[in-house]
Amino acid sequence: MPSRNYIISAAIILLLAAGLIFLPEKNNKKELAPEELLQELQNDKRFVSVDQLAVLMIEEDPTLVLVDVRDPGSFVEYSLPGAINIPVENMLEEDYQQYFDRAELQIVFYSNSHILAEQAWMIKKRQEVNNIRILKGGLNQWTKDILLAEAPPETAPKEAFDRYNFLMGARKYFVGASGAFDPAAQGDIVETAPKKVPKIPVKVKKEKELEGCF
Amino acid sequence: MKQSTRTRGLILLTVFLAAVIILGLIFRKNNHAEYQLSTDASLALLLEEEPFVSLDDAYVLLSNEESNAVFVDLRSPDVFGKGHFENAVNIPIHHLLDPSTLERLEDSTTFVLYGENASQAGGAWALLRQMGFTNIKALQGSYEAYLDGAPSELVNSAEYDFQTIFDQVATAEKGKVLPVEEKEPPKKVVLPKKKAEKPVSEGCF
Repeated sequence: MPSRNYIISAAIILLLAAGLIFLPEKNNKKELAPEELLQELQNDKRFVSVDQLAVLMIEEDPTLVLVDVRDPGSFVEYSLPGAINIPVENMLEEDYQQYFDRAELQIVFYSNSHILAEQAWMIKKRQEVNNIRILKGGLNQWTKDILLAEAPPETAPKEAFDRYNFLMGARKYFVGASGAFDPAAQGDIVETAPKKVPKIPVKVKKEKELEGCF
Repeated sequence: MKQSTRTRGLILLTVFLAAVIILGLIFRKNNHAEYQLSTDASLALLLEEEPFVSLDDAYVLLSNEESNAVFVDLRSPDVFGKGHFENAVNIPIHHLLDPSTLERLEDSTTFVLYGENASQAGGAWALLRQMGFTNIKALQGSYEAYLDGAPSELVNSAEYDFQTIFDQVATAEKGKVLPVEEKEPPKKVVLPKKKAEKPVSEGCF
């Protein structure tokens, strides 16, 4: 009699085990649910404005990691000072995970407009990476605001002039002396070490501009 | 004997319940949103597929009576009430993943999402695409831009030749910047990283 009970118990356990095999395994992955991702998509905190980024860069914020998500060709042609290049198609490679694992970093994705950067951000966000923001408007907005800033009309409110003055200051800083990196002498640049590889092409370009004094 | 009958009854009941639970878990109806594509597959698709319908193409779709494309307005009902594409459906973006919405989207018609800008529609597209919807497109601009006859928003292209503009601005600013530069050479010496560069710039002076 007990042996039959054992058989029945064993049958239950086997049945449960068989059932577990067929359970959808998606639930096991740690991911942000679509609903949560939708929430994030409506949150303006995912953006960093041109002005905010300029401040971070001028202050040499050691936690800032600027990531150009465009293709390597575009990156070499022109990129923001100090940026590293992680093309969208390589976004999920293990090599880059070191950046996304470090919660103390402020990663900023940028592309020409911000749509490519935003899509890259969505993929990483789905993987529950929370230290990434997107440069709103991308390089187009950056160039328009900082390099091509125009003086506001005289009737504009004071804030408009304050912002204009800020942008002009930022412009001087970014196009200035070999560039932009001189004031770095004041800060500790130890923390920016991971950026060293990509910095090279950017610096080389700026040097060329300096050579204008020949 | 009575006892063992009862035990057996309990066991049978347990088996039955376990079977129901397991079958329920396997065949439960997916009413909530789930990804159908892995992150790798999603990334590949984001790069391969063109999510956007340009404003010109939207005009063609809207004026073609045989087109069965449905425009979906992601903005709030208030804004929607003030003006929207003809025959557009209003699904405010925070209702995008409601079961009723997902049911509606499971259809052979093409849905063209539009919102305040291309970025909003593109984000909604990317989300639905990862959930396996293939009949979704995103408008490359806003309804207002369409009305104004404005060009489609730039999605991946550069609006300027960045380097050229940078060079022009740098040249223009140089006169103003140089004096400042001359005042600060001591600071440069502090920077060990720049050693290689210094001879170059010193050579200029």
